[in-house]
Amino acid sequence: MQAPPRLPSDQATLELEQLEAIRRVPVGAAALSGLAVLLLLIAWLLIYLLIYLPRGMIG
Amino acid sequence: MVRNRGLVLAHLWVAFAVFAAASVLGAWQMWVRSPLSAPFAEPQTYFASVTAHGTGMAYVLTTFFVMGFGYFVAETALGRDLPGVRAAWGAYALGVIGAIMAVVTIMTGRASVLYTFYPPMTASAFYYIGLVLVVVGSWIWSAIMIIAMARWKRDNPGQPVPLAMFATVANAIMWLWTTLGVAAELLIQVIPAAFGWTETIDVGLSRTLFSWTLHAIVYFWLFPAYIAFYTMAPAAAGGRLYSETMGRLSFVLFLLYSLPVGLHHLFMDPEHSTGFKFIQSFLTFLVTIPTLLTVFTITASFEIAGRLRGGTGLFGWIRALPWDRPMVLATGLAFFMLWFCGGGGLINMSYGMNAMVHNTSWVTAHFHLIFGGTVVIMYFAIAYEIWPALTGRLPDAVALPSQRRQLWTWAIGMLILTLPWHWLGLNGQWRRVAHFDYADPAIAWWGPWVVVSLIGGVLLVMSAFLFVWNLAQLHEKPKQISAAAAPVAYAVPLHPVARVPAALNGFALWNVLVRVLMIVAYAWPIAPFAVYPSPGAVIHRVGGAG
Amino acid sequence: MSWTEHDVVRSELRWSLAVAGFVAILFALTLVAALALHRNPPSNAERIDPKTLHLTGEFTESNLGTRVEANGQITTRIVATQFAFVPNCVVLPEGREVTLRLASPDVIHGILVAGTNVNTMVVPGYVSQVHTVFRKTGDLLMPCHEFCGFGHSQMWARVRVVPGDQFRPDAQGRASCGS
Repeated sequence: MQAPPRLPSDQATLELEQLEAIRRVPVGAAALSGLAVLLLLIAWLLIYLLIYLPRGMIG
Repeated sequence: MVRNRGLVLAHLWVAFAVFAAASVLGAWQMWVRSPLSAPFAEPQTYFASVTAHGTGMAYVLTTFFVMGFGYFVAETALGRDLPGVRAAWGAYALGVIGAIMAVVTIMTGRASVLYTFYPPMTASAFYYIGLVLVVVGSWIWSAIMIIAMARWKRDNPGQPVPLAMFATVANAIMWLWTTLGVAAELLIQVIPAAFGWTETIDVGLSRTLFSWTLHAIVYFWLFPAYIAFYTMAPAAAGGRLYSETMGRLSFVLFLLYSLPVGLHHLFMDPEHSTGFKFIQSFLTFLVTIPTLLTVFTITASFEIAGRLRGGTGLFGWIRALPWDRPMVLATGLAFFMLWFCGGGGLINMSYGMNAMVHNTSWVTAHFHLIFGGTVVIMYFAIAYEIWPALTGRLPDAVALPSQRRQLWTWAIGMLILTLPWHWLGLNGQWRRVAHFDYADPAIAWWGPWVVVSLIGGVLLVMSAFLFVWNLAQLHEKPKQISAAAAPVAYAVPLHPVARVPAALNGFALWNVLVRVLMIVAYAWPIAPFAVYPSPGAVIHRVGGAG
Repeated sequence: MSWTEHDVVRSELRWSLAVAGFVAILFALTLVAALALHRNPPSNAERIDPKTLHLTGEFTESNLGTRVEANGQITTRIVATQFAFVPNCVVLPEGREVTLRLASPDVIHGILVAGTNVNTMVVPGYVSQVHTVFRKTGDLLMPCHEFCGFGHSQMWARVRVVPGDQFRPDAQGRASCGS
């Protein structure tokens, strides 16, 4: 059994075709992270409006 | 290459052994809380178990893991031997002795004060002294980390400190700052009371000093996970770290904003006014930012990896990632859990909204998911990743699937444990209860959901033991390579930096800012206790003569 | 898009702005709740001596429970002790502003009132004060929600919220669950 094979991307500098492959970055990350944060906002708002506010005053 | 392998392994084995034992206690506690009849379910036993589970998981697993991993990073990221090895072993001895003292006092029923202490309830002095020894050991570790980085900088002038070490030292500095609070509480107030030198204690002051420690301590636990996100996961995925600068910035932001926010643990306390609760709530909103930045930077790093492996389209790169690699799998599971527990944290910190959840099971579920879930799953992944460099033994075709299975069962178990638990908390289930009267129609419907959480807990115990077994198995394998030759693959940034600004390569500026922020946030809340002491509460001794 | 360092920095800045906006929205709504909707952490910072609170002053036993003050304010005083609330049932009217005041002669306790936002710690040495308006009637569970010793699991009280017309204090302004 040997050490796990080193992937082509492990070398320090990227080849031109690799740079081409990652051209769209970070569009996918922005979409995924943005979606996650949007869902967080919606969840927080639902709890704020449907549970927190109806339970009444405190102070 | 790791020269002090024994030192690192000694720390990690203590951490994981205590973790496995404490996990059994956790599952038993959930059994006691459920409608099912559990053995030994007296309150004395239950609350001793809660103290042991909390002390083991929150103080021993964490401190020993952070220390061991820190020594590992200091040698491998800086590429040189650790300074102060004798002091490091001395610190280890202090920590082990302290942990044993704490465990013995708990097991003999003389320290059922829970891991948050709750004065004026007072345990045996030796419980607190045991924990002080663990903390002193960690202070020695902090000094070694700071010295190691300083010496490297002296020998490499103008060079950027490797990110993993920069983050580790940020953690050490944050730890030194944050432990001042609990050290003051224990040394000035609680231990003298435990020895009987004082008859009363100002509980408002002790809670405030403890709150000083309370938030940054969870970031102390969290830093290894974030170090793995930035410096190990992108490499394991076969990609690049999208931005090393953002990594440095995030760790600096954690150092600044995790400290002056402890009052958010005291939102419901009567001894503080709304003014400072509000200021610290605002600062807590700021400490969400480095996590949100991290989410994007690491996702982008994974996107690079996925696209390099042929993934296309808006989300196609996700499937293309090497999910068979434990570090990659753990990162994905950690981020999935982070949505839930990060969201829960947003609720907890939202000032008045805290009233909706304070001291309910929502809080307990939250920190189990965020610490037990997102953070500890990365502890597992780090262990799997660095074990070859520590032992010279590599996982084989059998070991990797078992590691993945362990990670999956941990994440699934955590979600089954905590999601219903959050829901019950939102519906008013309160904390630290050894026995619920399920005959009461108001709470009878909770019973089945507690059983669901119990099932999650049982799954977690199985996963915890599988984790230990996986590591033990690695020791059984024949030595294929010398540990010196084992690869330690720190992530390469997309744009390697030749120079970084001094502010992102050292902590002189940030230490000044931390001092300013702590004075702004805590000077006024603490001053009244010194200037105008409140009538003290009478000491209540727990166990023994009490 | 992400070939150059400049592009990386620009994308991170854009994300930072989005994140800052998200946090700002949450903060703004929290501020609205605090300033306009009367939702604040209870924080009156008032001291009391736990060793003598049962002997003199506000928290002597005959003064506990619900009382309508001379100025019309409705105040309920409760002592939290190991392991019971005194009194363990209080009656309050729906729809009117009420004030709960709690103190402890011994260790830390805490309360929540199920189905409401009423929540506070009870710290020996300090008086806890909570203002609220109950929006629905019924027998609400008020457990001790902070670990206070081995009897903690059995420590709770009830808050009986009655419709306004059924809230009938006596000549001294006192109302209790028995009446």
